Amino acid sequence: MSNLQLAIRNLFRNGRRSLMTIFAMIIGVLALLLFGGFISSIYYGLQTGIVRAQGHLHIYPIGYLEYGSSRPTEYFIDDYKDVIKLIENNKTIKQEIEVITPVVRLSGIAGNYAADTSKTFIGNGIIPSHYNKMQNWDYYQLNLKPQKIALTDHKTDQGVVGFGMAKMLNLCKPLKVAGCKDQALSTNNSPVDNDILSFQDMVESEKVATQDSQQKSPQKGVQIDLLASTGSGAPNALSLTVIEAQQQGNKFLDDGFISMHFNHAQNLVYADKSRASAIVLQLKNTDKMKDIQNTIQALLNKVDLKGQKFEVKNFTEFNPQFFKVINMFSMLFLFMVVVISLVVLFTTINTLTMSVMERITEIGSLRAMGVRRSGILKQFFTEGAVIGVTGATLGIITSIVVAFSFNRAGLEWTPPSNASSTSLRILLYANPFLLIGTWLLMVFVASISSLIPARLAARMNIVDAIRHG
Amino acid sequence: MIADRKKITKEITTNTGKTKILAKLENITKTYQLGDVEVKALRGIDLQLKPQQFSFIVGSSGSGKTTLLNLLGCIDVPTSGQFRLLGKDIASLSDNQLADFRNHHIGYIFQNFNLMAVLSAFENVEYPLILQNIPRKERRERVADILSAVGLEKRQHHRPAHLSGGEQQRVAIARALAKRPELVLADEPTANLDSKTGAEIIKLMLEMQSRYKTSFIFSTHDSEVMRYASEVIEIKDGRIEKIATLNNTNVGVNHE
Repeated sequence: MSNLQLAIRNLFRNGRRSLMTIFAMIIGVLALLLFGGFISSIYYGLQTGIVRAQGHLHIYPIGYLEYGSSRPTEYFIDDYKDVIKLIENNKTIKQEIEVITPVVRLSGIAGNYAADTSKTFIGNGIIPSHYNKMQNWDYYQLNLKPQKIALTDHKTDQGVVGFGMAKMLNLCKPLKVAGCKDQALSTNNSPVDNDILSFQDMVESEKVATQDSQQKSPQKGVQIDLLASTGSGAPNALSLTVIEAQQQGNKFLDDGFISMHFNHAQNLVYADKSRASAIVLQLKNTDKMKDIQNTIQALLNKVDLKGQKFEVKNFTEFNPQFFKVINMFSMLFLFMVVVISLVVLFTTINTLTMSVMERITEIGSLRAMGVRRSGILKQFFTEGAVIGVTGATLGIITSIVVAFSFNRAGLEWTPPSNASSTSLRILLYANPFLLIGTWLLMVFVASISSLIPARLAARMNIVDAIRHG
Repeated sequence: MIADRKKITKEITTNTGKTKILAKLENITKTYQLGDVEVKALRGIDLQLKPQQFSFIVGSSGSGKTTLLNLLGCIDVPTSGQFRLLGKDIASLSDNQLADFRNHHIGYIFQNFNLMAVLSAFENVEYPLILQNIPRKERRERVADILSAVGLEKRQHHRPAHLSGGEQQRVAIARALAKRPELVLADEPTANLDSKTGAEIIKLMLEMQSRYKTSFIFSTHDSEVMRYASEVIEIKDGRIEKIATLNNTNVGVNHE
């Protein structure tokens, strides 16, 4: 008769009470694992969203993240193709890369001359095929819907705007944006407007040229005009054919978002020069990101590329919001862990204390027969551990069943900063520590909580205990 | 920890040996504190017990017989006085040493049987042998032997709840004797049994005492069972009133 057998039998002695304790633990484990699985889903979902849209690593001129957007004349990568070639020539790095692509980040004013509206914009110049390839990244097999862009590599004058931007520029009707209505044209211009350098005048010459080309080859979309500051600081204007409105994750971005072909953005900011704001790298997986980041940084430090100095940032650095969101959920999870651990702790203490009280005479008899204090302590500790192991194991099995059913139910939600809804999933296996850690925690808490009643039992006076009956 | 236990066990088991004096008590007192009231349960006991006796401690309720029995069983310690059992100065032993001493040398039979409810009769008897780390085969043989001796071989797989009072007390006797102790203590073992069963239990214990050459010490106030005793220690108000040695031929007394 081992301690374990004895503990199991003693727990069956008041089966209902033991079952209630185990049930409380199952509920605790279930709550922890479902929430933990949900956080995993957010963690990997958010990471997948960022990696698809922005990649894992960005190569910038040093200081670009801090000052680049206000000083396009100072912060750019000259001859970006040489940098890409340098990276691709390194076999170790190349085999880890899924996509390497240049981007141009720009800002300026977008105007719809026909509707007499204009709006500041934040723009992205991308190579559409590269961007769409990046959208297929699904290392964690989340099966999230890719947010592909409707641009093509060969039509360089096309662009996509945010829903909000479409509203601002009166593009709802031509772009057929659902739930969006264009404003009627105003007939009264303020007299002040006449004294200001007209945006309309600025783009007039470009507009005429574009209208000519539209007449020659009529194409889908509606034309707007973009005004931006060039690399030399002079204003530059270009027309852009907006072919689609694509909703962005937050309103601020949505109201000013324009995505266009890399060449078009390059023309607008850098004229014809072979420059880019950054080089984006999407890796095959995130696990080696830090190593690759360091290797590329070392490589760039070693080679002289027209005296340019670069820095390599990973997505947690150029997107600090990622860890803020994850840390918020982690804190919630931690809080939940503490609350559930306390519930398990007190439930187990209560159960085993009642068990000790019912078995005072037995404890006295065992001590009289020659069982040491440590023997009594061990017995009640084993009972706590059995409750812990049983509750935690059944809790994990229940969680797996519930998570499986939940994931098959096909529920959807729209995560913060996401434009479209995604499937609501509980990822139990994505983080092995979640399952193992929860199991260990519950067993530990139940075992530790048994020490208080176990100590109480072990320290009983033998004579008093025997008399108790 | 295990090494420590083995060391203590070895020390305790080797130093007791065969002795002509089972227990020696000199000027033993025991005082309890019950709230503000000081209760003097024993007031200077001087007693010498020989081995392999069938001794009865008798006295009215509150006379101190259970307290004396508890001291002899090493589950309580005297307030003052000298107490040696099997040649050991009990006061010098630590809690763990006392537990090991009880484990190896003392068997207990309780008034309420105090069997472990979750164990069968067989397992209850086997339990003290597990504490002594006796190998499984030997353990099983010993248990089967003793259960057969107390007439419970056919009830060995029943749990206490399915045994009568008499049967439970037989299991308790078997449990106390299975580890072959030098001393078996029984605190009013027939108090919760009808007179017929009580008499049977006493006869059984007498038979066991004779077979295993063990010292039995009872506390009782049942004058009916005293006729089986080889020695009767009468206690009154915490003092020994009288010690009577009887010439009981049923008792396997050590005549060396």
